[in-house]
Amino acid sequence: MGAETRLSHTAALILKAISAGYIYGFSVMEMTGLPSGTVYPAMRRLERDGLIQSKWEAESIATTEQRPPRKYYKLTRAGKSTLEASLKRYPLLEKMIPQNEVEHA
Amino acid sequence: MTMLFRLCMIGLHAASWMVCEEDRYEWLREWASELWHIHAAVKNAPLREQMEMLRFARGAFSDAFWLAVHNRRLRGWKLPVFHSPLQCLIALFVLALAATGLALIHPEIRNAVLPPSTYEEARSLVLIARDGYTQTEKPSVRLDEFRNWTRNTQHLYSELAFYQMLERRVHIGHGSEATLSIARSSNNLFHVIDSPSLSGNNVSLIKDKPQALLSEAAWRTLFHRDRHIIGHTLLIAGEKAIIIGVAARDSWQLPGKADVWLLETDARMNELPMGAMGFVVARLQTSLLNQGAGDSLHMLVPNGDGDYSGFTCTVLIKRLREPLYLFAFTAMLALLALPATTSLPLGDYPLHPGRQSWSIRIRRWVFLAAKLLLLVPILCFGPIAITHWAASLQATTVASIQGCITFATTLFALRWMLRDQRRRCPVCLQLLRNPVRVGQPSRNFLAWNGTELICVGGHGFLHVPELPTSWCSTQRWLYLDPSWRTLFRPPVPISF
Repeated sequence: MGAETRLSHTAALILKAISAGYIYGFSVMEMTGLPSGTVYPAMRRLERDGLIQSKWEAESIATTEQRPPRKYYKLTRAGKSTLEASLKRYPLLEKMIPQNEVEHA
Repeated sequence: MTMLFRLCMIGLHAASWMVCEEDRYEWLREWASELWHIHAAVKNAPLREQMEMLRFARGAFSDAFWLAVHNRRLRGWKLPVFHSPLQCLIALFVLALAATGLALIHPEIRNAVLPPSTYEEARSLVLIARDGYTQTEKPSVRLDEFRNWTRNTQHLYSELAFYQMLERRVHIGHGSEATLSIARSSNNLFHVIDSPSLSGNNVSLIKDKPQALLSEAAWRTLFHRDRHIIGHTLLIAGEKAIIIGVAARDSWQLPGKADVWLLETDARMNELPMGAMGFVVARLQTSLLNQGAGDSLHMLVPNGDGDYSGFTCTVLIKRLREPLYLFAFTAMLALLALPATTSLPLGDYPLHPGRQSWSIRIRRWVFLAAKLLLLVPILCFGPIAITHWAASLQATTVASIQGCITFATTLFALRWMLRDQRRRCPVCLQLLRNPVRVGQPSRNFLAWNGTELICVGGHGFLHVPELPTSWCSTQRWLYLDPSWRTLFRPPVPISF
């Protein structure tokens, strides 16, 4: 998937949210205000297109904190270049999603 | 864990069935994990905030649906494989329920399954048709024959009525007209049928003028459910008829689909041409019924040239149940054709006291019987429902289509039932997997060649010979010793 990939506004919004450090499904939902039925299928599409990749949190961390492990998403190289192209197309995205201060692995 | 959380988890598990088996575990793990975190955040909050869990879980269905569609596109559409016996029975049960539901929605099928209650004494109500026309919706009795019978067959029938189906332009008031399907009949039609839901309010009061009874559909669409329609006049092909009522929906069970029933006066009936073709319904004499006349009678009537014409009088109940009889007949044909499509034996399962207790053996047969029982409503109601939804087709066409579909589906289903049974482990009833080719055809006289399947629970192997021989004529099960069990993973349980 090249940098010229044109994303819908929703997909670009989700990509920007992940890039900003909202790296699991519910945080993306909270940040974008989109419902789970939109966010998750969109993330599946982005992952299918190679713009993001997912990784399960280490079991040991989750066990220590007595909670189930979460699935984290991060941008791939193709995802980053696609996001740059999308930000030119949707300049307001930059302002809509601030950078998350707490970055997860 | 709150009740709402448990409810959402059930929802997630339900949605996960849409996701293909390989992705299901990870998909469910991700959604369950996120739900857990939401639950942890809102569990002490007021109910309104806890509803966030429900909103979140609702999205799982969209996600699962997207994945299901996406995977289907990638891998192509495949028939689902139900490895577990419980999954198989649940799927059959759902199909049986759907087929029965479809059948009960359709009035004709409902009438076939449940005895008709709209006509009083339906056992004595017969439809008379010329030989060869009993299965059709074509009129086959001439008006002069009907008149002749009314005079000469009192010993057979207490009363006879004649009707014919016509398409006529009808003036429905306010200057508008519509082409309606009209059942023009002798004025005693509803008296013969004796159906409370078909009789108009004033049906017995006006005998000297033509009367019209509207169908529920015509009353609804053409007369806009006018509650004061009774007593108004309809102009049907230049003839005035007084509206006497509205027939209840699905109350007409005789051939022909009418928008209006036009009950002619005797004088007007006499004006009709002698050769007018129509349908004749009659009430059998009680004495005939007491003699056990059966479901149909044959009647030979002399015609003018010294020859005889044959007529069949079919009891209405039998006519209504024809789809069921047709199912029984075609299912029997399919049963006879079954050995030509697959072998009937279920295989050779050597007695193994340690692995094959009575309960296990019985369970295997119960599973086979349950499959058969669940297939019956699917095969019976499914084709009937499919063909009867095409209401515009003629009865003979519907019967032919139903017969073909029933034969094909029954043959396929019975074949599947046997093949499925043969491909299951006799101990855990899971479908056997990982088929491998064993041996070579050239060594058939020294050994065997064919396919070997394995039970993922480690209960044994199934050897299916490629060529049946005297020493390996049918598939053979080979039990594995329990010491092999450690190599196999336990069968996947069905759980929420």
